[in-house]
Amino acid sequence: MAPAVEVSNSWDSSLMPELLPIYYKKLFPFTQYFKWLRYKESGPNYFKNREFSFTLKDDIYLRYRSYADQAEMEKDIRSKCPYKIDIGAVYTCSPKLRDMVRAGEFVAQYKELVFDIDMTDYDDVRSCCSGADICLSCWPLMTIAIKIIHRALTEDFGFKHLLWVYSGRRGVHCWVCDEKARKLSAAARAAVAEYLSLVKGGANMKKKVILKYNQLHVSIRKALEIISDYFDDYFVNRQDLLSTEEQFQTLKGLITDEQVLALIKELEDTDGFGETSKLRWACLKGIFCKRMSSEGSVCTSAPLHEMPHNMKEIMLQYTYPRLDVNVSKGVNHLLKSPFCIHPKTGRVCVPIDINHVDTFDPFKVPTLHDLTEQLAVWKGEGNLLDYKKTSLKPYIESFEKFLTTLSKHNTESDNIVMDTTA
Amino acid sequence: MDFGQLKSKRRTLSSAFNVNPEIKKSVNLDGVNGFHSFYKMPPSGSITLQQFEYYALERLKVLKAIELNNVLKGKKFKEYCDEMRDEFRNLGWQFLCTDRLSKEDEEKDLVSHHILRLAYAKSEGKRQWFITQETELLKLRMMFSNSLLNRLLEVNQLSSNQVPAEEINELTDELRGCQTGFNMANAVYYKVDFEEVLQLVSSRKVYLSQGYAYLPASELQSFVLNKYKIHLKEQLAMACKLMPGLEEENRIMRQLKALSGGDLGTGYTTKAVGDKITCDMLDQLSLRSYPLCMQTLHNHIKVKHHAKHEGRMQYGLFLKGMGVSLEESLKYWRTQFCKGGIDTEKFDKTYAYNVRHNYGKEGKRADYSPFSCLKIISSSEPKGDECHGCPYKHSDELSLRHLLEKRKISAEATEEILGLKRQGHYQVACMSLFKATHPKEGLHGGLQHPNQYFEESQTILSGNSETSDSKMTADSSEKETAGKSNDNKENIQDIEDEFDDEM
Ligand code: SF4
Ligand SMILES: [Zn+2]
Repeated sequence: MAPAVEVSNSWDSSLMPELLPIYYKKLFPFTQYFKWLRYKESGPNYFKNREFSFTLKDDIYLRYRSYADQAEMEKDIRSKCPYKIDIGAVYTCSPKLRDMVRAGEFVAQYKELVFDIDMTDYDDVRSCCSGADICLSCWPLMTIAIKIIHRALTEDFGFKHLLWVYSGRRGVHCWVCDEKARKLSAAARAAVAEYLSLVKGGANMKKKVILKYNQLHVSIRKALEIISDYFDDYFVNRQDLLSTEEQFQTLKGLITDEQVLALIKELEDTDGFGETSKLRWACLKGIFCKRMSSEGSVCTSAPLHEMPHNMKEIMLQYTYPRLDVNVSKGVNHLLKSPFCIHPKTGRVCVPIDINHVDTFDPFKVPTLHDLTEQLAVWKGEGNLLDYKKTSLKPYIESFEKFLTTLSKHNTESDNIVMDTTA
Repeated sequence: MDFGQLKSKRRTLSSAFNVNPEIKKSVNLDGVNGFHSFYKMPPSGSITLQQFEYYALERLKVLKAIELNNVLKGKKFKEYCDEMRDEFRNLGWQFLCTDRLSKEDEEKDLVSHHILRLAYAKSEGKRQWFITQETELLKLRMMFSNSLLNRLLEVNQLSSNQVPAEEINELTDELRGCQTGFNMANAVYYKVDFEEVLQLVSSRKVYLSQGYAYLPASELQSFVLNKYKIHLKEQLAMACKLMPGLEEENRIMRQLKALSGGDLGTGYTTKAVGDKITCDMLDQLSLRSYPLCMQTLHNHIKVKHHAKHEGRMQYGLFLKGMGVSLEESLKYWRTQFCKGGIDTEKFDKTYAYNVRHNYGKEGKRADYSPFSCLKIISSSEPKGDECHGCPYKHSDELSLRHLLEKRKISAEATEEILGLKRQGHYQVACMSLFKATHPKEGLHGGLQHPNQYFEESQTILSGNSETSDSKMTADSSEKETAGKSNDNKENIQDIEDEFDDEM
């Protein structure tokens, strides 16, 4: 087993009631947050008709909150101090007034296209932890997922405004904010999510990725190119996924290529595979290379993404992104807001800069406790904005960067509209 | 029939048919000669009530025939088309197989389609059924008519979006990756918004770039079908909105209800809850009378002392359907979960709500129906190490073989079941297991529901051979409620899932 990274998480969730008011008073980036959700170009009701929901202490849910403007939102959030804020859809009328319209007239209309990737869905391919736990040995799964999905959403679907957010504990969220994405029907959302889903089946389906022979969709080819940058290191060094006989058997159970099976048998009858993940994996790669040579390609050490299709299936089963499709499907599905505090870890749900996703470290994300400490000991210039005194600063700046492109793009499309009317 | 009734009926029909908002989509399917089902134009004029009923029932027969043949898939496509052609002829709808429709045929087609639209607009599940069958019908009609597809494409003005040959040349690799039998020599592609071809998108059968899908000429048919589906969906939603206003027009409503009511075949009414079955009997019962899906869940929980949300829903509602009382259910889940290290307090806080919810004691207090086979087979797949779903569909062959071995059936029976699985006949495979594990009798008239499996098994094993057919053919009003609560359930589940985030 890979050395589990010890996380000294001194967070104590009983601090929430004490520290949250400070966070909402001084640090939560209301202005930027409002600038985002207002979507200026989409009309004045866009923000007013947006649902927010709160989870208060002791799991009390408050749904269908909505606000006329930033001031009203600030006031409500500060007075309720929610443990968690969820963002819902933009409805046909203001959610707080929903009882005043006829049933059927209160309908979810728009929402960002969202994705939720959660480490619990990878339990069958992690050796380091399970369930809600994560560590630096399994985090590369998230890095890979982000890169693959980001590429597909931007290149294949043409979306431009993606906000990646750390969910505060064991996963990541993606908010696709392009106008077109916000208007997608539930069916279209489901289709996009399906397009991005490849690993299928539960406990009784051992082989979870089956590719067509001799035919590989370009999105999967490109995913494999991303995966092959990480796979050896992830699989062998970090996860050590072939160290036990059982793990080795599991992997062999995924091999369906007759010739490869024959070659495996041959090796087992002679030199054997060795005992470590490293040896075993090297031998397997060698065998697959041999298999390729028999197909006519010259090969001593092919890059992973050019390996035979059975090998591709294996790599995909271990590392291809696993989405929670249900979250993406519904227009009215709520998703935890960026900049919430995760009550179990105390960490802020910060944006992840796609250009630096490789260096993103979930354990370096500031906790509520860190932030309030930093504020308390601040000795520098006094009239600096509070968040700039803390380690939240780079994350808010990256959020602002996202907002700048969002509004730039929108003013561009405003101009186009004006041109045509001129 | 008195005049008042006639008048009210006329008003109903015309007002209902007149909901026809502009279709915003760029592609237009209407206005194709002789294809009224695409309709924006509602039928005008009036017909007698008898005609109304007659037309609707006739079309319903056509759609049912389609559904039936669809269920028994695995036939060769050609065979299926031939059979359907015969079916239509027998039903007196042979015009569905031709290009030329007489005026009468057109009216029959148009009016019956619109009546059923109204009848099926009421609930989500019914709408889905109607749309599926109608789309299949259009598909068949396109098979039978040589010119229909072309006419539809003309109206859609697709040709202007054709991808230039040079671009296809550059994209050879990408395009080949999406399509078996790609052939450069005769490659014709159309560039359309990805939203126009969602099915192809979800199955990755199309090349996408910057939001555009490169639609191969060979996929034009499914393109049109998909448009039709969307069109129908919009129209039905619209009709549904209008329905409350029609509620007072009793006679019509009753008729519409009766038309759609008993015909879904998936409703299931929960047994009166008693204290007959206690949770210590479940092990025994699961051995002999559970279908494989529930047995798998039961054993999984027995070993792991845990199950994820979907699994708890599927098994929990099945237990309810068996007649296990809420108290016994709670006891069962609590015992199991506690063995898995979840203390009573945590159980009561996190999971008990769910169990009570299934019994309609929390949330919206809707009485949820146990899942039907159709739902289990078609809705959310298990992932990771979850084990809900239908083993005939969601297990690989090896795992299914293991599961069957434990049932100690003959080698032939095992092979037969695996064969059926391979062909996608999941429910039939399930019936085979029933036959192999019960003396003499098989299931009565097809399998639709795990609880049906259970009950018939119990009836046979307890030597009481009175059939339980009545259960599945409960009168339409009861079905209506079952359907409704189903809808509610989805809503509530939505809400639950909305919060199913990490806390
Ligand atoms: S066919 Fe129905 S009863 Fe049989 S295993 Fe599948 S879901 Fe269960
Ligand atoms: Zn880990």
